[in-house]
Amino acid sequence: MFVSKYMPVRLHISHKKNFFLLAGFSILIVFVSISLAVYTITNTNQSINYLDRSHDINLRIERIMSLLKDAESGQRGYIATHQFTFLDANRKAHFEIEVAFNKLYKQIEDDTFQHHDLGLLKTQITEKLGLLTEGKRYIDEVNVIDDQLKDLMLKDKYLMDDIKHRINEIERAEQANLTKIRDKTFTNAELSIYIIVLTCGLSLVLLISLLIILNREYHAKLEIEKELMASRSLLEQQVYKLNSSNKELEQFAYVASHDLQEPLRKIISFSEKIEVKLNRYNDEDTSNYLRRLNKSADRMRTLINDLLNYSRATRALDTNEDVHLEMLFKFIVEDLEVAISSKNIKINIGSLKSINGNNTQLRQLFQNLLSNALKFNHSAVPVVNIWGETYTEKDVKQNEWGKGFNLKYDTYYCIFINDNGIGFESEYLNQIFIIFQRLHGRSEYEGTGIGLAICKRIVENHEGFITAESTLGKGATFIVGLPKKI
Amino acid sequence: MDKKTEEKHCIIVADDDTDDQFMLKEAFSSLNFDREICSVENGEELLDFLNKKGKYNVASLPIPKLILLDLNMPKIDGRQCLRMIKANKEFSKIPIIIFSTSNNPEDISQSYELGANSYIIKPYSYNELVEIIDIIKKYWFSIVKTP
Repeated sequence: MFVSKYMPVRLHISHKKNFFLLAGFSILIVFVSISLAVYTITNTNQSINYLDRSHDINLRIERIMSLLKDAESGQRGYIATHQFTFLDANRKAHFEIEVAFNKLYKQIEDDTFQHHDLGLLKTQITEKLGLLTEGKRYIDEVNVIDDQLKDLMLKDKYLMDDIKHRINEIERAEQANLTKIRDKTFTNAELSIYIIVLTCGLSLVLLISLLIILNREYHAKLEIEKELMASRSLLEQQVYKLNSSNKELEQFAYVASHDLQEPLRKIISFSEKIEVKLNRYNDEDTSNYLRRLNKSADRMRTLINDLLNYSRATRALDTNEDVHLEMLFKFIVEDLEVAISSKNIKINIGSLKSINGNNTQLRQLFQNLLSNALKFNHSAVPVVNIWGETYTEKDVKQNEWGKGFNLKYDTYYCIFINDNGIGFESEYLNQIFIIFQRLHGRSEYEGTGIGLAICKRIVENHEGFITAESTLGKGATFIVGLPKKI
Repeated sequence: MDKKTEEKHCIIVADDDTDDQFMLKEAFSSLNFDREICSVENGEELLDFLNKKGKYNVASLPIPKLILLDLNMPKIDGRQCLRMIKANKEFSKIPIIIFSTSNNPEDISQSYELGANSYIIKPYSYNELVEIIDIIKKYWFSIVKTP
């Protein structure tokens, strides 16, 4: 029953370990997914930027080309017509090409290869523009289209071809770059998709696992709670049963001892009446029997009375009354006055504090202890010393008599009752507190063996302790510790 | 004066134990007690006696001057009986002595709370019983005045 009760607890602990492992893994995967997404988006952005750049470069180069062609056809028109209006394009080309190149340089700053090509292109274009200017100056000076001019124009044409060729190359290189980057982007994107799908799938699996664990955890918890409730109610039932059976037992002891008294009373009373009548006949034998009968009846009466007291001592009464110990001992000494004076016993009562407890029960407790101290004392100068001291739990345990005590409270008020009587051997310490246990024959000492058992019950009612220290023939010290509650 | 001599007085002993009744009667007679000792065996009979009902519905019933009441009896027990008698205006003035074997403090205090006039624990010895009865006789019938 107990094994099954603790099984879910063990499961619970292993779940906890798994739970944290999975949760940690999930968080890691989420981080990986996020960084991958950021990386892919940045990559795509770069591609788009590059695309824009290539487009711009192409447009600019086209523009340069067109300006150059305009300049060329303007020069040709001027040579043919000498109209200055044809030279406008040339002037415009000079200026705009310069601006376009500045912008181009800025755009391909990080591309050393293109940079180099662009430098060459610029040199060629400058040369071309120079050639156009030279052709114009030549026609201004000579005004005839001769072979030298034709050579110049032919050189101009070849240069133009070279320029076109270079421009093509630049555009092709740009295109190749673009393709490379686009391919890379596509590959990245494709890979990203795979990875994202994979991580999402993994996350999903982890999430489901976590949910399963949580669910199991929840059910295990429910199970434990249910078992806890069950065992609690079982405990309550058992406590109730125990309480009622204790009460019944107490009631039984009480009723039994009470009802036993009734017939006994009759025996004693009628035997007394017989005794009176018998005295007239002077029958020594019968009188002897009757005396023995009376003695037995008397002893039974004491036993029943003690048993009644014992059953009463088991009752948990209010243990929170103010008990004035000095006063209590004064009353007890008064009660035992006959025994004290007949044995001429000196009783020293030291300082005693007031404590909390049940007055009736504590009176019974100390009366029993004191009457034992009187009863078992035959010394020439019999003395009983009584005193009290406050002990902490630690103090108690440091004493020989307090070793191994299981104490519930921090502070105890200890009452010592010490005598110089017959004492007992320390090996009998545990026996003396058991009901009907006696260390001496009845002919030696009277008693039923209930007195110290009652003391023990009373002390237990008060959640305290009782013990004794003794050496045979050298007296005994009984110690009663009563807790200071708060 | 004449009327007083006509009145018969008695002590009621309410106890289910016939031995106890016997013993009490012996004790009273050993002391030459001149009033009648009437015995009843339970609370019901006691109440019948007081109310002159049932078998006690007779003209010549003596007037109870004292009740010795046991606590543990069948039918209506001593505690209930005590409560009922003390709640009745007519009977509440009759002194009641609880005569029980119980030395339980709760029984003792409860009895006084319910209006008992004394609480005596039945002694073990007959001689002691005679001493107690002697004191009861002197106290309730010579020393104190009762209605």
